[in-house]
Amino acid sequence: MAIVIAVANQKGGVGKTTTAVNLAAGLAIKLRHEGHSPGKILLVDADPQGHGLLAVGFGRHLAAPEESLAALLVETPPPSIQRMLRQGIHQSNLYYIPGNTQAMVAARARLPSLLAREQRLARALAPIADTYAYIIIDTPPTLDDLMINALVAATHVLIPVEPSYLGLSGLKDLQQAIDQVRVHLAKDDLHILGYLPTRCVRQRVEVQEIVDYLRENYPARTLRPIHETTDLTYAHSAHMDVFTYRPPRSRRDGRLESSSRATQEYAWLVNEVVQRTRME
Amino acid sequence: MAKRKRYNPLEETGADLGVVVPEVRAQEGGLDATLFDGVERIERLAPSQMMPDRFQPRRLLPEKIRRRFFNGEIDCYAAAQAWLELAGEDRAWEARLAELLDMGGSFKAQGQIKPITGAWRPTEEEIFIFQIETGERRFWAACLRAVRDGLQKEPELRVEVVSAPTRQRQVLENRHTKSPSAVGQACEIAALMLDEIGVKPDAEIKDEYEYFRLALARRAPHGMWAKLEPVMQHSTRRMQQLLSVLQLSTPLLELADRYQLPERVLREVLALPKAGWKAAIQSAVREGLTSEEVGQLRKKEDKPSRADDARRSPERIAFTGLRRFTRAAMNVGAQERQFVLDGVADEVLVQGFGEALLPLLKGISERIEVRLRGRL
Repeated sequence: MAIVIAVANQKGGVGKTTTAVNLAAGLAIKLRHEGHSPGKILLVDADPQGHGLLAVGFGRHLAAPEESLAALLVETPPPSIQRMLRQGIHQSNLYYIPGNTQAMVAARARLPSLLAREQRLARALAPIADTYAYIIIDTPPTLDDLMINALVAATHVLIPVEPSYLGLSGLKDLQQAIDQVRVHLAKDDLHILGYLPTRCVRQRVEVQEIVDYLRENYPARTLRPIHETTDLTYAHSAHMDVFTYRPPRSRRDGRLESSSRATQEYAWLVNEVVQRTRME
Repeated sequence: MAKRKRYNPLEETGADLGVVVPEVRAQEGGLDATLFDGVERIERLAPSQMMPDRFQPRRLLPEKIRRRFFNGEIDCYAAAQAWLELAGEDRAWEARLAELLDMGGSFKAQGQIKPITGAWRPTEEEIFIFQIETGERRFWAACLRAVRDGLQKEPELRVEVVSAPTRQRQVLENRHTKSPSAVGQACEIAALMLDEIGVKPDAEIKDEYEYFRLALARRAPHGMWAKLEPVMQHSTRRMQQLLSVLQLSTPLLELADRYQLPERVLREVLALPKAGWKAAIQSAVREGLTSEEVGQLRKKEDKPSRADDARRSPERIAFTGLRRFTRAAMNVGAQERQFVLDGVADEVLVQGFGEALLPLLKGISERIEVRLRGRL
């Protein structure tokens, strides 16, 4: 059964999409090198903006509404997810479901009126869950039905946190939402994989204070920070994950990181995620 | 005062309420079954997204092409192309293909009436393919038509995803469309029996007939035949007779299936010594032998002699001769047929019975015409 990781935080601009894309790509490279079976990764972009898909399938990332993720969420019975899956353009074992911005916006508006609305993504993924090692879900920057669907579908939640006052302010609401999902939607097995400080700028004093605060309050769950770097921004501009944008000289030994700091930090995250999820 | 009707909300039906209320059927099998059984979802897929069931009892693809297709050496369109070429050389395939091409043509004219059913399966290449449960004829009809018409874009076929494909549904669909040959029916019975006792096909098996032959070695569980009777619409005895056809070797089964040899002919073949099966099947195909004629082979392994002819009725002798003539003439392409007919006419005249033959041919053709008109 796949390990499903929702990358969630209702604050926008904290690096959810960057983290989701690079985590998915890093896991794909790592599992491919290890010859893992199943060694496939699926990226699900539940954010209507669909920016995550740009980095994995640019040029083939959009589809008609009835062929996109939105149809899986709102139609009864849903279309076959199997025929929607597309192979990523940079990593052969990274797959995605194409999106449609207007359809996702409409789906978000329609979901409140549908029965079993919180479980639709989980049900849509169920037929293929056995064929993937990891499913990474990028979530929208709001605590809405799309986010709840991602939490219900997930086995783990990875929470990118921008180390600032505003970045911390929504954390409590998210934690409460996770607790409610656990209790009311019978998801006892939903774990918080970790809090990931993102967009860290070393020069800002506040950043270190907040990272220290996270380490103090969530010692086992605070992950190593991801710093703000131009490589991450430019990788997005090039419609790539950072490991493709800044590859090492050789991947023969399964190496993820290169001289780019962003690749080193996300490589650490990938290895940590694998270690933590395999230990359970 | 007249007694007023008391309503009970628990017993009210849609008719009482003046609305049509969909009937909720109790389902087994968990929540997914409850939600999706009885609720159809029709989607459209291209043939390249589908794969027929290799262990479908009714085999459609010619053997030469079948292995290459299921091994992945050729795709469905290359298989259809090869099939069209084969049909040009072999009358048995020509007739079968004509039906499928007509069906493909009717999709264009009237649309596809019944969806193909099946389920998604992961493949070794880690993609999903839609494995066909019922509707393989529709699949090939579309592929053949696409190749023959030189379509640039793949046709799209209506499909219905079923949660649990069953062998019973496959067999019932076969019965409703076109009843398979005796060999096909033998495979159906074997497939149902093996499904019943939980013996699933092994993807490693190269020869699908080996899977069906497993049924010969197995003891039918109690009540199984009674269960199969309504599905196969045959009596238990008949099903057992059909099943025994699988004793033939694979090449003979393929030949018998291709030429649609009836079960009673195959039964007579099986009654011969095993060494004579091949010759008997080949004779049955080549000369159109009936079961009685094959039975005669048991007594004499030669072709029917004049002494045998004497024991048969005049109608039987004449009919057998006409059938052999028809098959011999139809076994060649249309152009060559003209040469064959010229040759026969020349020979008839040379042998000196042309004048006697003409009124007889006229008589029989008039009688056949009347009977054909009566059938219409």
